[in-house]
Amino acid sequence: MNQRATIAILVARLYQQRRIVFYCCIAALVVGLLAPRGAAGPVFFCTLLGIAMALAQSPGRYPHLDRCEQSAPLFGRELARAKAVVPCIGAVLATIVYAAAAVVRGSPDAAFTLPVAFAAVVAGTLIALSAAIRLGSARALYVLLALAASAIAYLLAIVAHSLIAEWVFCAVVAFSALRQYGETLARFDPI
Amino acid sequence: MLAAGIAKTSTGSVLIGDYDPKVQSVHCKRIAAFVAHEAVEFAESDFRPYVAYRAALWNVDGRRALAHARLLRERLDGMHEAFAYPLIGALIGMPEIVVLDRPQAAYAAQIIAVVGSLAMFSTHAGAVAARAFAARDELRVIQA
Repeated sequence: MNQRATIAILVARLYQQRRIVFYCCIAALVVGLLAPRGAAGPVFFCTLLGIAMALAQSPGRYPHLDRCEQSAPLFGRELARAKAVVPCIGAVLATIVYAAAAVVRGSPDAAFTLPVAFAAVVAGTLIALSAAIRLGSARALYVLLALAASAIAYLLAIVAHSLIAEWVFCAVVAFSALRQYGETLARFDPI
Repeated sequence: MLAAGIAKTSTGSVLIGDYDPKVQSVHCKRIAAFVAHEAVEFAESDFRPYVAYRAALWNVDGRRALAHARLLRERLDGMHEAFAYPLIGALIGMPEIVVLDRPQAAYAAQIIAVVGSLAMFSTHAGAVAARAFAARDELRVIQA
């Protein structure tokens, strides 16, 4: 894998989307201050932020970056990995800000909710990436899938008290989502 | 040589340097560079980061790409950044074929000067537009 290309795509996209990432972090801060207790807040709210950042990768929002990336000699999976890191970084940052706000409000379980939220948020964000390259009902279905994955992760970690099961579930879901996103990008080729 | 009026194939495929674009698109993208028609908002200060970005995507040595890009920029003197930078970005990958999406006739001399001996393809739909761009003796126009 060409790491230079990955870093270049990551830096260019994060720079273009710096405002979105900033606003998501501010939103996480506000909600974290308002609802500091429990894992439901960081898991579901930060998943929503991750979905929003994943949808911001939709083709046409940054046409110049899209053209450069699509015409570069990169495999679909390489492009998928690089593009997937962008909303994941934004979502993880928002989750950290949420946890920091909860700690400031004196939440006793903020440290425990962080690993639960990270896994759920990353899995939900990666599923939502497939919504970014689809329209209509297919797009809505992927968004719902992302929310459902987040809900299952929450149930496994909090209701079933199995953090390992949640991590395994999220790892499997995230891997499948990333692979599918890569295959879809590989199919869409300007040549 | 300028081939104009390129259209999408309805059946089969066109090999690019012995590579099938449907199967070996990465190899094809190393051979063929694409320059979009749409202008991109660039400032003079974006030159270095833009070249570094394109060099990273094409896995070209950064310093060599910057030196090459500066040379190309000098040859494109007078051309607006919005059109010059994408062309420079396409050429630093050292392609063998340059695909120009409806290139502007006003910049024909500069474009031909930097593209040099590379084969050029343009997506001009009509003969008039292609001739307006390529109305010079050193260019042989093939229209599809």
